[in-house]
Amino acid sequence: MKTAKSLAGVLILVLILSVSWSGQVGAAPARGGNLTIGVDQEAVGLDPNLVTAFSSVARVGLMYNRLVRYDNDLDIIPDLAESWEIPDNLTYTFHLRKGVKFHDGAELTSEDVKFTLDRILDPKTGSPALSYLAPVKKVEAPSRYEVTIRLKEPMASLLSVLASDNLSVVPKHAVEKQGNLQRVVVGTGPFKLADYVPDNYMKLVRNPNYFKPGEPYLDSVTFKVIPEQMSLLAAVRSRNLDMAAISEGGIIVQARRDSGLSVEQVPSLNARTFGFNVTRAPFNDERVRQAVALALDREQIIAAAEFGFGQPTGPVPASAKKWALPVSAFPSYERNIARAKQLLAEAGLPNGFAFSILCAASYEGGLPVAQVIQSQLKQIGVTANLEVVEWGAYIDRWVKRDYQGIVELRGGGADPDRFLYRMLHSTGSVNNFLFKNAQVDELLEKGRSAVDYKTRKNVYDAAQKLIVEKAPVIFLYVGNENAAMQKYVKGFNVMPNGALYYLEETWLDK
Amino acid sequence: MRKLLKNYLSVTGLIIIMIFFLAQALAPSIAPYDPTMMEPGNLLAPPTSHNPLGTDGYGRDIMSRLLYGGRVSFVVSILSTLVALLFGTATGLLAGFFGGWVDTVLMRIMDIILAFPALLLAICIMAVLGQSNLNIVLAIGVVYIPQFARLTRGSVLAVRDLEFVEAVRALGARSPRIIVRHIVPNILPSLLVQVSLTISLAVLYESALSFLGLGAQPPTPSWGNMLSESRRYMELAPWTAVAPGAAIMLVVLGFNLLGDGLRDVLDPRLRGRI
Repeated sequence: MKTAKSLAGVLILVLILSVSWSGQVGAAPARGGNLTIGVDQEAVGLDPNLVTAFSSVARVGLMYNRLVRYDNDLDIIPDLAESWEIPDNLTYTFHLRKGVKFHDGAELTSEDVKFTLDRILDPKTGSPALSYLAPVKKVEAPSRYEVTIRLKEPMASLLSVLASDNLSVVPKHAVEKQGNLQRVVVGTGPFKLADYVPDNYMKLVRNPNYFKPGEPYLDSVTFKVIPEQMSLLAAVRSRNLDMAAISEGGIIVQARRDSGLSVEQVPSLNARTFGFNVTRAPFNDERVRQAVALALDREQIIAAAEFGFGQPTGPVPASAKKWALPVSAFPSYERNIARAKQLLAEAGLPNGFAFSILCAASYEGGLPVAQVIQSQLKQIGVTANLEVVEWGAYIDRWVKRDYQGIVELRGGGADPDRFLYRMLHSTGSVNNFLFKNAQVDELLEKGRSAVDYKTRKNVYDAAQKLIVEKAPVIFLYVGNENAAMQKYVKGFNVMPNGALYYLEETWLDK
Repeated sequence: MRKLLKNYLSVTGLIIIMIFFLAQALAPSIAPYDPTMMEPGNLLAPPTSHNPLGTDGYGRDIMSRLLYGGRVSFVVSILSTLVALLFGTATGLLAGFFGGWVDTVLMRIMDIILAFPALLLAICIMAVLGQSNLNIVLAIGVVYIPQFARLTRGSVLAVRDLEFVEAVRALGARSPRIIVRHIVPNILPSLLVQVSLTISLAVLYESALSFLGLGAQPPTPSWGNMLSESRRYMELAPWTAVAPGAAIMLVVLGFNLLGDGLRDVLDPRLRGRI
């Protein structure tokens, strides 16, 4: 009955989408209007080279540009760089678009690009993107519209790294004057910052000098912060919002039932994980971690926590199809209570043990996931106590690695180097599991410096299997990125990484 | 007592409370399932003979969770009211009986507690003490101390200078004996009414704290956290919200009716009216 209902829901959705799609064919985008978008978290700072919060990254992505960017199929396409050459594995030359203007009227030149990269490479800046760029030796600006990046060793993921919003190009003159850009915005992007009242709203207006002729179509975009997911949907229904980014599956089901709205969903690059501090007992014993992994049933977690919107994933997010292994490649993904109990007995814990899982009540904090894990672990005699803490405390303890087990939402990347190296290399900047394994390190280094796809694929296949076997962190699933919109919102695409780039092509059909 | 049983309001209240008491006391034997057991293939099932009140988003039986959740509400509300009663009455007795600077100091402290919005104060106390069941009892208890203190002090002032107290004093009784033997019995009726009303508020506050994630921690069911979880699928599965919501309403109503009934019976001026 339920499947029939959801099937009907999908059919209706397809119908709606096809109708709206056919309506779009031939109709030229209309200029003008304001689009109000609801989000569940306020931005924390606006300097693209410094921000870490998902909420900030999504907003700076609209006001700045990168050398290259992702499209919604996660292919690299030109952004500020019109074209690029890779004469050898250690040299990348980018040709910039001519005549690109910053919001203050100054022209963007290779000096700004060099300045930006040097700024990130300077440890004093404290940029979270620093570890991405470890293999960079030197950045040169041979002419006004040409930038050359020289590497110490080959790095296949360089383009993918340059597509990160953290590598958005900032103007040299403004940073030198202001110190940093956390409060002011001087970008090249389609929208300029007009008005900002933190915790209330942020208004962006059209950049008339944007380098894509005619775009953006909208006169302005207003962000409104509404922390509660159900209230976000209510605001879309009452037409107080034109669009809302929604994370919870249950809310999306309710949005889809509403024939007045259109809902778009794509598999997310962000992975839900259950990690351990592997320096603390009993998780310093590999067998205990494996036993826990064997006791989990991912489908059940997805059903309860995400309303079934998600797919089990290995260490590379399942949505990054070029690199992800099918989960059948991982033997421990098949639930096996007997084997789990046996492993616990071998580890000297035949009667199980008790530990605590750190989580928070927000979507990112994963409380529902922790609850299902708790109930599943009971079946191998393991008692998981939930430590539900407030979001600030959660981040604080995440940074200090102060936990036994933790449920997280990890921001993924389309290239495995971007995702795995930071998280699981012994020197990785977000290796919060304190996991050290020489073999894993070696594979991740090899994958970073190899250039040929086939070689890298083999290396990452081996790395994924090894990581799942060592289980410093259990990769659970990737959910969906969702947007609920009014029917008159056209041209928007939801991106797997949650970026809002497509707002520059969005227009209102009313 | 006979008067109380004639008052149909308080009888209704008493019946509701008795059902509530029995349901939570017998939860282990009458609950159809383990309240924390998740049935993966049976998420958000509407009420059926299999699950009389349906299941929640994790496939747990709502009937069982409601019964076990009642235990949290019951224990917390009774204990926190006891805390408030004990400390509040003691404060009120001392302040009322001795007067002077004792009265001033104690009652100003009570005024300070009263100056904070009750829920806000409870949240602050929880934030400072940390999450535990004992702390919920303390947080809610502290909030209601001033009510009891004021009520007691008022009653003590009213009887302190009556002739029978003067008489006992003249006979040589000392203060503790006068308070315990002669003053407390006189203020007992009004305390009883206050206790009943406070329990109903404590049930509400316990639910509110659980709703905000400060009360009973998962997987322990409580009415407040059941309501809080149901927010995610209120439209898809309204029964997840209706059951705990109705339970809270009924129990609060029950204690209020009892309290009102008690007051009617004990207050001669209101006797005969509804």
